[in-house]
Amino acid sequence: MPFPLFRLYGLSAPLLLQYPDRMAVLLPFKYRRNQKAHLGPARLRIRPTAPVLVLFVVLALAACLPSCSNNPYPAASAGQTLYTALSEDPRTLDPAQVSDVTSGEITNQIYDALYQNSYLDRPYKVEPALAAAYPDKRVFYETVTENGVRNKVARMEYTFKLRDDIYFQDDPCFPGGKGRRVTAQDVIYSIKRLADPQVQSTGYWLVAGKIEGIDDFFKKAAAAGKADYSADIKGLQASDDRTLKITLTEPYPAFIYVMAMTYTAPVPHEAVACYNAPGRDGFSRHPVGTGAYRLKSWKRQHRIVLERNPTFRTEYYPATGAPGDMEKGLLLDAGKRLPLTDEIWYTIIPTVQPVWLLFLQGYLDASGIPQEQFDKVITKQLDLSPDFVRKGISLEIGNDLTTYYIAFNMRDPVLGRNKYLRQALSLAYDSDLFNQIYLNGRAVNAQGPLPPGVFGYDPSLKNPYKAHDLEKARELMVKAGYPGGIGGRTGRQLELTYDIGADSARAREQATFDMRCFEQLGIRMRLQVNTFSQFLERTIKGTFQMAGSGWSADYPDPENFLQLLYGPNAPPNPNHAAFSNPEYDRLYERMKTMDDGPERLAIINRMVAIAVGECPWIFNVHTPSYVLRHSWYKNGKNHSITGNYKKYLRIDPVARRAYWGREDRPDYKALIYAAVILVALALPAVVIKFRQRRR
Amino acid sequence: MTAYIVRRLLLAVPTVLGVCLVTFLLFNVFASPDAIARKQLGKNPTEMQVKSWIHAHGMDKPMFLSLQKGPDGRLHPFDSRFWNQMRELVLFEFPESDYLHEKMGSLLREKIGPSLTLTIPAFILSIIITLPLALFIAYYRGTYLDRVALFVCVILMSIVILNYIILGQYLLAVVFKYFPIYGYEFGLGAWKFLLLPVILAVASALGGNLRFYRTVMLNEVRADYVRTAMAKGLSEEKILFKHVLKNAMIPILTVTVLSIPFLITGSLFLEMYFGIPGMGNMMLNAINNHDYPVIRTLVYVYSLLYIGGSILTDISYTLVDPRVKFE
Repeated sequence: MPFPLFRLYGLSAPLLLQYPDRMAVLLPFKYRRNQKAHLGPARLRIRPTAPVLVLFVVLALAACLPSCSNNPYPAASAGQTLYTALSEDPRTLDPAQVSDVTSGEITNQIYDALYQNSYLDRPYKVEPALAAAYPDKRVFYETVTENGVRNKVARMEYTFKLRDDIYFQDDPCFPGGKGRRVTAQDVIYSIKRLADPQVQSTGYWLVAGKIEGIDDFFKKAAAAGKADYSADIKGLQASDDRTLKITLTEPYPAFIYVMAMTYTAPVPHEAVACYNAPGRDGFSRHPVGTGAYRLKSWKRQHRIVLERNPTFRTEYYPATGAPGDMEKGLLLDAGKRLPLTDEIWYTIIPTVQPVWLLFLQGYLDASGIPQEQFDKVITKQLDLSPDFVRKGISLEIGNDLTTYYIAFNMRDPVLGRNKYLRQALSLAYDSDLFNQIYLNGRAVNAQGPLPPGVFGYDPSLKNPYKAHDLEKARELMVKAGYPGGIGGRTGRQLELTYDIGADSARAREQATFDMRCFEQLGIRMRLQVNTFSQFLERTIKGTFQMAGSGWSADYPDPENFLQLLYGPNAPPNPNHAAFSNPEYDRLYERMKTMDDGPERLAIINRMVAIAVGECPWIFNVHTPSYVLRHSWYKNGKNHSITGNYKKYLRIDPVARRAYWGREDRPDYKALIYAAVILVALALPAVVIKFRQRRR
Repeated sequence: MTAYIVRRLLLAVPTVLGVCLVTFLLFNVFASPDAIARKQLGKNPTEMQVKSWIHAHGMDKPMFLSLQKGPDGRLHPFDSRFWNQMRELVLFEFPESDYLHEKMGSLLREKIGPSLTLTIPAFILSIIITLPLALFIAYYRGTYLDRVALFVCVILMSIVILNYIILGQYLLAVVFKYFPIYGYEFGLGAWKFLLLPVILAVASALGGNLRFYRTVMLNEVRADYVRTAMAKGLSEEKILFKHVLKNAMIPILTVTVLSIPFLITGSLFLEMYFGIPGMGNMMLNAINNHDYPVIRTLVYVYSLLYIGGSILTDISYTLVDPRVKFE
């Protein structure tokens, strides 16, 4: 190779050999002509120089090349291991403190509650997990005296029976490191932790005011600065190790969903005491639960590895599911002991691009679709593109149980008292265009507060103020006293402030779109960009006028969405609009105490109708989820409520290895070309210098 | 020299105080304790919980001066949010992260290692590659190679690091499949995850460093002693590597020694985009999650490192150049 190149630059090999001294600079060792020629034949004195080091580095790198690969996992980790990604580190693995999606995802695999969301059944329902059966419910009446007035109030008593084969995971916090049996007292202890101010639980709201006596427990603990766990709570009683009685202050059928959340999962007091002791790094880092997996390792901002819990209760893959599950092959593992995988590797990846690329290389088993890739992946008919089908990738489209909306501040003097103005703004808003531009047309145009998949969602509902009818909107502006956006009394152009709670370019862009819709009515819009804290503060103080917001279901009950417009839930609670309607509030109080049925449905429909007519929100969209899965990822089914679903998944390691074999072979040709180009670039200069020096 | 260092250290006190004050104001003036508590307590915290959180974090105290008598009947003017936080920092009793619920001390210990595994090789490799390259270009000054190199340097300098990362990830990890796109392994297994970020760190710094070192070298090349050496008949290589390089060390030292403390702080973008769980990654996460205890601790540590680095640079001058004296 060097000779043709030298010839190219007008230099021949014999010439190089004639001037070894001059060419020494190119040699990988120090060349010296022996000055004492008379003492014997000429000798070369060789000692390492910079070129030698360079050569050494190049050789070392070349030696590394065969072991170079884009596979980020050690060879030993393949097999029944799930590879998945998390967008951020979990805040905590203490089930009482969970508030974010990632913490929920991990704690759900480690901690089981008394009930769990059924994996395959649709519509969503809960089924016993640590409990032996569904609870017994009893409504009874108590006479209470309040301000000298005697009232008869309805209470609800739940009786839960625990299974007798439930053990905490083995952990050094237990004597001998062996996990002990779970008792009803453990569940009571866990619920008390929610009401311990020192725990700073994010789940207290689920039981506050609902379990009899729990608020007194919280107040006493807050006043004393320390909770007394030996103190009795009237509504939490264990008649024996397996029987738990919970008394609610009023009938509340949705309470079973609370008992299916990890907030109420039993935690061992031994682990809390052991890991929260001075000098230890906290119970939030050392989860000890009863779930299918236990924590193997957790490196902050890097990776969490869960491994199979050897003492997990006997549980089998379900034999029945929703219609169509059989055809999709979701029942092939029916009757197999859970969990089906040995390990789960969660890699923390905050940005979307690496997740997508790792998925395409087969190093993540499943993925969502980044917005910028959507058109490449999904065809116009909302099918998977043929390129992806050829790779064995499959697509599942599911409901996300979310509602995005723009809230009007009902305490604002301009918007709160002017229903026509709110209705006009709603009519001016183009959710379909928003959906096309920002969500690739994936979302469902929201007509009310309830998303598809929740009891009470009516697909035939047509919100008259969501028709995007500018003509009608302008008519309503006249009725509202703002013809053409000009105040009839003041003669001044109406100006409204639009708040958003995120300072990203995308959030600003979407807010600009929203404002352009309203400006078509002649209104002047002003954007107020806040940090999330500032946004919260403005909603708490009620100083905003309009604000973009959204809600994801905590549990699949309409109450979880309809509470967002319940008067007493006004800020600082989640009714940011501070909407208050006596009829709506009365219906809500009734609806939340009822089981699903025609009567409850009728009440929900009436509540939705009130919300549609009063227009405290502009209902924007319900977003669906698009999940891509590789061929080796078995039993995948989308579920909108966070849960313990990883135990149902299975991997086909042979198919995965075959895919990796195609994806992890480096292409060294490019490296060789790059080296040749670099040498070719530098060589002429060396030659020119060489010639200069020769002269 | 001792007097000089003592004076510099005394000057550091108001500097650090000022930096901490700005951070404190940014986080305490623009968001109320109530909003901060609600952000940390999740979806639907009760009023009692919010009050309890605010009290537990000392956020119910005045910002700077407490003018009310305490339970002991005495005035404690410095029992305020700012001074209590400063006391924690000065005594190195770092607070607990609001987001990760972990003491900053242990977080720092956990994160420094991965950051150093990225920054030290990148730092050393950058010097090893850039210095000889600068000398090489200086040696070929005036030729087309010099001009092409300068042109390439300006291009390299103009590209932001994010583009290096995206292009590097796409070409070297996706198309040619040499390196993993993302990830990290603790221990010896880290090397394969570090190769690409180290290459990109060196490449992104190459343009600027090369131009700077070349300029330094060329300034030296025009010095009298070079002419004398040439007159004595010394070879060009000898003059460059033995004399010019030694004399060019002062400006080079300024840049390199000053950057040594920042090896600990890691690289924000490289760590985030390659999943290296280091200090830079922690800082970005803390900013994203409004984790004020982490941010104030890191700002304090970084300001100390910066001041330490600049003092170290001054001291290193005297070591390499006997003409420099402390006064």
